[in-house]
Amino acid sequence: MKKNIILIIVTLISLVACKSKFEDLSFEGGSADFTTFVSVGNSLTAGYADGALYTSGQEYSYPAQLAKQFRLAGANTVFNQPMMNDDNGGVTFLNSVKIEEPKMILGTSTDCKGVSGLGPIRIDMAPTTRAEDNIYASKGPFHNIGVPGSKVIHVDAPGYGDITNLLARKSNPYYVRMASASDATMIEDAVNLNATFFSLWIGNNDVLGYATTGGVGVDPLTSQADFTAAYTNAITKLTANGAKGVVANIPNVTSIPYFTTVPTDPIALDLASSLSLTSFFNKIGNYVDTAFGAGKGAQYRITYVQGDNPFLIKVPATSDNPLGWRQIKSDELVLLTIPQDSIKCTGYGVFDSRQPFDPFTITIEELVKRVNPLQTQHVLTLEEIEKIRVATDGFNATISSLAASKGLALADMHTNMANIKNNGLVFNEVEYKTDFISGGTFSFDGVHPTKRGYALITNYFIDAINAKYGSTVPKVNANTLPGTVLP
Amino acid sequence: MKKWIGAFVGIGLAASSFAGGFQVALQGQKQIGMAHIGVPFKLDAASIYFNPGALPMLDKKFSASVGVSPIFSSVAFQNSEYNYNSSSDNPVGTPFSVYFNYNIKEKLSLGIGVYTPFGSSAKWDDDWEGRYLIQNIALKAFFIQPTIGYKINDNIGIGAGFIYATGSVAINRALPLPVGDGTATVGLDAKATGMGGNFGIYADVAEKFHLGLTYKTKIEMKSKDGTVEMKNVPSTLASSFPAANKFSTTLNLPGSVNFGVGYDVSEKLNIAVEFNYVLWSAYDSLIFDFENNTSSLEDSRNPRLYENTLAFRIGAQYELNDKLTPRVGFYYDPSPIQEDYFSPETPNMNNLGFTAGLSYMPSERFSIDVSFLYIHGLKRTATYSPSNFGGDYKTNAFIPGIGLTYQF
Repeated sequence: MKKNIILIIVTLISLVACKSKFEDLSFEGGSADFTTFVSVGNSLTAGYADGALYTSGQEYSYPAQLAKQFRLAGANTVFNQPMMNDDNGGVTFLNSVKIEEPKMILGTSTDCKGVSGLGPIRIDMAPTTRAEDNIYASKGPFHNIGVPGSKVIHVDAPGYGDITNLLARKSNPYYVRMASASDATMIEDAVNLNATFFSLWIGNNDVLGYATTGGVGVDPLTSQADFTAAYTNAITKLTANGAKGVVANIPNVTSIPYFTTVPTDPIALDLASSLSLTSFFNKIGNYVDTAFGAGKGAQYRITYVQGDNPFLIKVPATSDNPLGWRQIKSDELVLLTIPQDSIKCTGYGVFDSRQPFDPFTITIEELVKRVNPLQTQHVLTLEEIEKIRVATDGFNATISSLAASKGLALADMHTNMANIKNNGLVFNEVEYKTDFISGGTFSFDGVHPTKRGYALITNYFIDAINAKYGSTVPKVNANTLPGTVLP
Repeated sequence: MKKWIGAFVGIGLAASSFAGGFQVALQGQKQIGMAHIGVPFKLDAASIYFNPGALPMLDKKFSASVGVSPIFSSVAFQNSEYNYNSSSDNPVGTPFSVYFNYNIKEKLSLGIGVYTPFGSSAKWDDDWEGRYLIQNIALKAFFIQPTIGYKINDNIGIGAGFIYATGSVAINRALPLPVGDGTATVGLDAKATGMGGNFGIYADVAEKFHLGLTYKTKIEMKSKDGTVEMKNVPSTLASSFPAANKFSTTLNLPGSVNFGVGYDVSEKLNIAVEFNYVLWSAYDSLIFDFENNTSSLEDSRNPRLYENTLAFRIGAQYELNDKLTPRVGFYYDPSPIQEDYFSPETPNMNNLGFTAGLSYMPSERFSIDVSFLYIHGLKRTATYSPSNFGGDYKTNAFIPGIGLTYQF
């Protein structure tokens, strides 16, 4: 009897080996064929991050991540990228002159006041990638035709890959090194692959170029007509062989830390400084009333307070605003690249404090001259933000209508990035935000995503593809990718 | 001026549960064999747990019972949207129980029991997809219950036990930072104590019917000096996440109302049903109050929002001869966890329990009791929405058990 009991117990314990288990998953491509996948776009397609294109960034470019997921869905996707020479990035041209900077890392720098702090700094490494070395013959053809800096008007422009145009900056060093021929275009190189599936994310630089230069006009917004013509041409050529694909639209600049990190009111004043500044600006107001007409001085009688105060910004001088500056509005944007030392040590954005002066004897002309508003290239005013919004909305309308008419999937990055900006994105408990550095989504340049940020973008592409083509391509676990490196 | 640079805010530290659905229904070997029904039975000193009202009704003056039930359990997890496939490798848990009862007078019984009614252990891979919610958890609760019973008449007994509960919990999880190399972890360790009661009434009705009704109170487990240990936090963030910290918390173990009916089909065959209404809604949220708060480490309030459940059990025993009594049973024990608040730290399904047992009595005083319980957790598709983490879960558990009863 006891033996039987022991036998029963042993049998029961052996059952314990049966662990609960699921069947293996399988994934489908639906009506899409991912066999030959080509990706056309700008820096966001190339895998650019931290102010540079470098190899480990390229490995996590969104199209490289997409290709990897396509392979899980049974496609034998080959995806060849024009890899940089090193993991630091940067490009040289002619006698090793650096024409593209290497990447930024988080490092210690000392400011004008001698205070050390942690912030993004360029890595101190000479680039080893040379614009002269075209790698098409040895390493091509390339499936990632993402060219940092390219606008929609460049993608089918002959000469954009011609090295002889590089000195005049009429061509692009990243395309120069990967183009199949000096007169080739990005679209031609893509079409030559006879792809079964493509992605196109272009148009960001058509607004970003204007925005990141503060709207001064050196890099104007692309006109709606030029955009529509160039985008229509690109889509028509990419779909000519019947390829299916996905396109993405353009996020708002207000979703990007480059424009949202620096507050409009960082001028920290103690009580004494705030009182003397208030009295200076009161004098300036009185002077303007006298010199330009009663009532016009009021706008300059700014009351400074102990604590945080808004910047002054430069605006065009008019008869209503004869001095050509005003206080920044709280919904205007200050660019990330604003020189911080000038703010800290020269009174940039308020009042030039470098030369000592006697506040009782200083002339009014001298006071007016010392007013030190932010230069227009460091600020996007409400008028400029509105121009950018109108252009972005117009370009996105073009993208939507072409996606619809060609039957392509549309990844709505405009909405998606705004959602992350407004609500954050909780991914398996980890919350991604658009805050500079700490948010985990954007890299040290404030414009381009981190590797994990590119994973979130990849997932938005996959959502759009699966919805359109009935595929079940699995998404990427963003948390497993390397995060922003912190000391 | 760099104030907009290193400001790492809002990385709240969500925390983990103590009792979450892991009531351990393994308190007596004979009872386990019949679907863990004990409320309408007067079998042995295990009634200290099941129904203190049955203790003065035991037909033996002295009854002692001990048992142990090692739990071999596993959880499988899958998410087809992200191609997640994981399973937890749960260390063997060993709930045990020890009971003594002595009917010191004809109408009065005194007893004491030590048992483990709540507990859980789960070990997921350190790098599994849900690591920011849980990597591993070990929780134990011991109840010590001195008990008094009074026999009102030959048919009705009442009893009451005072419960002193002591427990411990250890939880490890990855620190949910959106930046860094992903190796930062946080370990939470705490001991907790609480008090409660277990009240019961037992009645033999009309010869063949036996009724039992019990009420177990909610127990607030309070912990004051829990330790927090952070590992591999980047030095940039060290001030936000102090390496050593303390926390206090209160964890509510649910009470229950239990009702059972036994029926003697014959002298040898007894069948019974039992209902357990478990007051899980006591487990509304888990609040961690950190001694040292920072802008990134605020006190955390984690919704659990458990719902009350009604479990149903049916079982039978048959006295084959004076040496052997086999038993069988089945129960349905629904999950208290809502679909949107389902965390992998204590994944609890709607459980089906299949039980079998056997008592062997080499002598009149001595019984060897074995039991076997197979728990099949019905597949569940669920999410812990505050973490936006979910998928399909499946569980099962194999629980052999052995015990000894000595009574005279």
